[in-house]
Amino acid sequence: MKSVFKTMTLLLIITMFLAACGGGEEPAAPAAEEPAAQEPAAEEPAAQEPAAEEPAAAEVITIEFWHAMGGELGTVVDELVARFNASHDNIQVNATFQGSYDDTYNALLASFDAGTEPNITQNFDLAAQTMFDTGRLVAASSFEGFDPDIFVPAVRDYYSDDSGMVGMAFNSSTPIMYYNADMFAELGIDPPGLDTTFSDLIAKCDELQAAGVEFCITFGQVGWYFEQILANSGGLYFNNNNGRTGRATEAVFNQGQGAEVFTFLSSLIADGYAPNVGKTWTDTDTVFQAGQAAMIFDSTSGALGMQEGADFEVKTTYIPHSDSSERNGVIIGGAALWLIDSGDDAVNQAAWEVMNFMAQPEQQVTWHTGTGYFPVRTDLDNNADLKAFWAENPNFRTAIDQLASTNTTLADGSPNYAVLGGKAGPFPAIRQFIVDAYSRVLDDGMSPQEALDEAAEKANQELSDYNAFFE
Amino acid sequence: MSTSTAQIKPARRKIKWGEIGLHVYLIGIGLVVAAPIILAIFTSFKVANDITNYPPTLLPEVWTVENYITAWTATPLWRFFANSLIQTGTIVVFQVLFSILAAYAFSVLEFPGRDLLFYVILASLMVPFQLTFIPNFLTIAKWGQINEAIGPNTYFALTVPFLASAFGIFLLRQFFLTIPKDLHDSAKIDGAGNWRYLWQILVPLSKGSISAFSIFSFLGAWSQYLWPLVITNEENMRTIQIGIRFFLFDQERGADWGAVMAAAVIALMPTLLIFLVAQRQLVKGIAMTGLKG
Amino acid sequence: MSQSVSIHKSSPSQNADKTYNNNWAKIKSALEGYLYLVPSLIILTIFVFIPIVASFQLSLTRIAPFGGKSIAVGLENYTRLFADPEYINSLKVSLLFTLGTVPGGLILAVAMAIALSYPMKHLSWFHRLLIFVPIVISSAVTGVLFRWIYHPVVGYLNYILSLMGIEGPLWLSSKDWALVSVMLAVVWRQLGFNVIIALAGIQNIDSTYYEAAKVDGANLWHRIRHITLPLLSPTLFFLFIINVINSLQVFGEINILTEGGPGGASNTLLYSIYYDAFVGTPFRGYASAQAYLLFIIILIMSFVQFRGFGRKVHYQ
Repeated sequence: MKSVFKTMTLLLIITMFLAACGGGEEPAAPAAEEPAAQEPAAEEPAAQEPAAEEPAAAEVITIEFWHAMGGELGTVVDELVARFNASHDNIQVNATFQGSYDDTYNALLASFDAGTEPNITQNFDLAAQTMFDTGRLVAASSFEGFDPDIFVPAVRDYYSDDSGMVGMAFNSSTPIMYYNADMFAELGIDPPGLDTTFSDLIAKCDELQAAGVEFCITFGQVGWYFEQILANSGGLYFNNNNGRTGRATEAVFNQGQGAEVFTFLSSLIADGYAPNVGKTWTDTDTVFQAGQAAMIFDSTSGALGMQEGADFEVKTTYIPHSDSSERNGVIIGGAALWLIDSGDDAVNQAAWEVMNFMAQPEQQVTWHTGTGYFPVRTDLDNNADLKAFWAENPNFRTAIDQLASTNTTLADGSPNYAVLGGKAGPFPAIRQFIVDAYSRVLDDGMSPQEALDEAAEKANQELSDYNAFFE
Repeated sequence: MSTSTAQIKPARRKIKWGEIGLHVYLIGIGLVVAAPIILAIFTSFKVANDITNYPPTLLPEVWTVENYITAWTATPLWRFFANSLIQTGTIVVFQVLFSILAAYAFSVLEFPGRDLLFYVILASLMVPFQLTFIPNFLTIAKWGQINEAIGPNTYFALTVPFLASAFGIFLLRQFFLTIPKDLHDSAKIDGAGNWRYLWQILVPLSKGSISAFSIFSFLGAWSQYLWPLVITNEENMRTIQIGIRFFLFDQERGADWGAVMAAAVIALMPTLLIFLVAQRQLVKGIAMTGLKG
Repeated sequence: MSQSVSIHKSSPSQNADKTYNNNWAKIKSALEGYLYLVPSLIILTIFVFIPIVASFQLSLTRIAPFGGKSIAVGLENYTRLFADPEYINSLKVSLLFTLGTVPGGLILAVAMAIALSYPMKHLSWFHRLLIFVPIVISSAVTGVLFRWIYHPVVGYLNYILSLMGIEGPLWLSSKDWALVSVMLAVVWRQLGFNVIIALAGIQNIDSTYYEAAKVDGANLWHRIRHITLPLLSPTLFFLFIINVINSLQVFGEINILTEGGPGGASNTLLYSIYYDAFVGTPFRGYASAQAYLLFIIILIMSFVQFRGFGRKVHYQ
């Protein structure tokens, strides 16, 4: 037994030692000491405190920046951040990857309670209403020199409240339909066009699968494709014009177009046109890239990775719409940057500089060509570098054109609220009900309508619970 | 089993057949049990194309350490690793220390309410962490408003709820009870107070139990997941367990499985090493702690 | 010790002083006892006992997803829970999870421990190494490893099944298999611990029992049935309690493998609490009500366990 004890003691000492070293820049005392004492009172809090006491110009302000860009996208974010830090002596950006959009959103809400909120957070489209409701933001439009008109109108409107643009457009995307061009060519089947109805797509599927293709299409059972195809078919998600002419109090996605769209999507899987890969964002790529499926719904932000991971030619086109509608177009997806009030003007100003930097043409070009998210500025359409890039990479154009050809105004002149997208505080939770609805249909044998009704009922409860705090 | 055929053969042969059968059985089971780890190790040395090839192969076609470089450089993995060591080390040291003290009080000292307190502490084992983590999160959040050094995103927050262990107290008390009272009495006659008796006699006698508990404590602390997930949101303060989760979860693009496996292998190394060093003693130690009652 | 005893003893007057000293010594020794307990008691009080009350208070409110506003709702969270099909589903999932992991996991562990307990000249360290090794694997790493093994396209599990002519299910995305997938991963992670404890228990059994049985001509199965298992019962009881508690505390694997899905198929009581407290649009009051009910369930179960099992095994 003696040797065990020695071993354990040794291991503990090694641990302590590594712990002490591992602390890095922090004044980490041996972990065996009272933990309160070893606490790193270092770097992060320093961001706000010194600046708060004496906002001297020489002081370096640290800006905490949370984002949801993993993998290759994260590398590009890091590159942009490094570029900013290199060109700004007095501001240091500290970027933290917070996981998925949902993770980032959850972390942010928790941070308001924990008092650990960042200065800037990336937050996804659905979070817009929640972000407005927090009352903790500094609006982009409140800074001097801010010009909302440089932005693509759809982006600008999506992230605006009555007073103007609040969130700063950063990474905008829409879903597109990728297809295996080699496969279509080999089988002698025409690839899908830009304006595809559900029946067109099903007909294409029958042709493909008759020719021996394992799956016609693949997509993750996430809420996004339902939202987007619903918009493309001109359907609303919430009442009060998608929550844009008043607070959304009721979900209406189970009526009219909603039922048609969800029936289409769920039966693609139920009828064997698409594999049931769950609510994944990633496994569908593997299915498509392995040549098991001819087409895939995915974000334009994957334009680069999708081609890189495939040993065939990847081409892209617009997402489909219901038979009973005209093509309406898509909602702006992706995410924006939000400035959280630190209570200190100097820090807020510094954070604003970071956000503004990210929207500059140079950064937007890097961002677009490195990821597939489209440029959020209108003045980049004639950028020479981008034109050359698009000529070589037509897939990067599809989402831009799809959005540009979106009908933002109805025939009677009123705004097309369908393509503005839903706006509601608990939208992230409600999206999850759609994910569950897939499973209700595919696993529990519910009809799509029943599943949607159930989802709508849960959504209504969620809306009333949430709205109770904001009336 | 081969008992019937073995019956005909000489006795020596019979034993051998049985043993070989047992070996085959155990190796078969062992390989199945260890398979997830073995596969992860091989996968971590594969190049990207190799990983997505179907059918999957066991060994890499081309061996590469690229994944380890990616895992180590794409995220501050070393930092996560160091955070885990600090967190785990702190928890182990305090749990062992506090458990020894409490176990001593419950096994040797006599005072009013002793048994009641013991049952109260034992009852805390029945309180699921999921009941306490929401209030604990709010408590730490509140403390953070007073002083950031004891708020979220600190080593303090990562460790403080776990510095005491009812399990450790129970385990060590059971062992302390097996040590003859005469020892204490003779120590008293020699003029040794409780403190000296505890550290100079009882603890050295209980090294086996204490080691076993330390190993458990280490494994438990190193593996923690839910608490670090909710109480940290700064990259700098993430533990390795949370680090690999974030590494795996890429929202919009395919996960880099080779690098993920490399990170997983790195994350399991410390506990694997401890296990390799102390495997035999671990089993003995547990037997000694008198778990049977 | 009560004072009446001392008074009774101290009838001669010169003993009063002694009694005083005696009492003082007792107080001192009591104080010393409490001092040894203080560190553990403080931690457990702040982080275990007070939260029992705090959690109940939280469960009586509806708390805004952010900003800390709250509305007192009385028992509404509880009444809602009982009408919430998702909560009923979580109850069912947790029950299935415990039933699916604990007995199976223990039977596997005991079978392996019995095999490992036979003294062998060679390789016994190697067998142990392979079978014990999951003990060092965390729930997060387990989740990551199994996510890879279950991968729908290039996963090893379905490939191996396909070699046997079986078309493997979509482990993580089918409602029928998601919970099974998580259970397999958890049984695997728990295996090392269970085998170690079971093996220790077996090795603690006096070998004379076996020798006597051999003399009586008992075969292997009889020896296991009539000696090993009964004498192992205290160990098994301990393992049973620990495993049930663990099965109700599984989080990491669910978080990484299925996030409670699909459609709540792996949404255990605990995952549901986490989900409602920190995911989507969090409502911590509702989550606290769930946490409280779970606490009560665990208390009742522990009570039943001790009453039901306590008599059959010689457990002190």
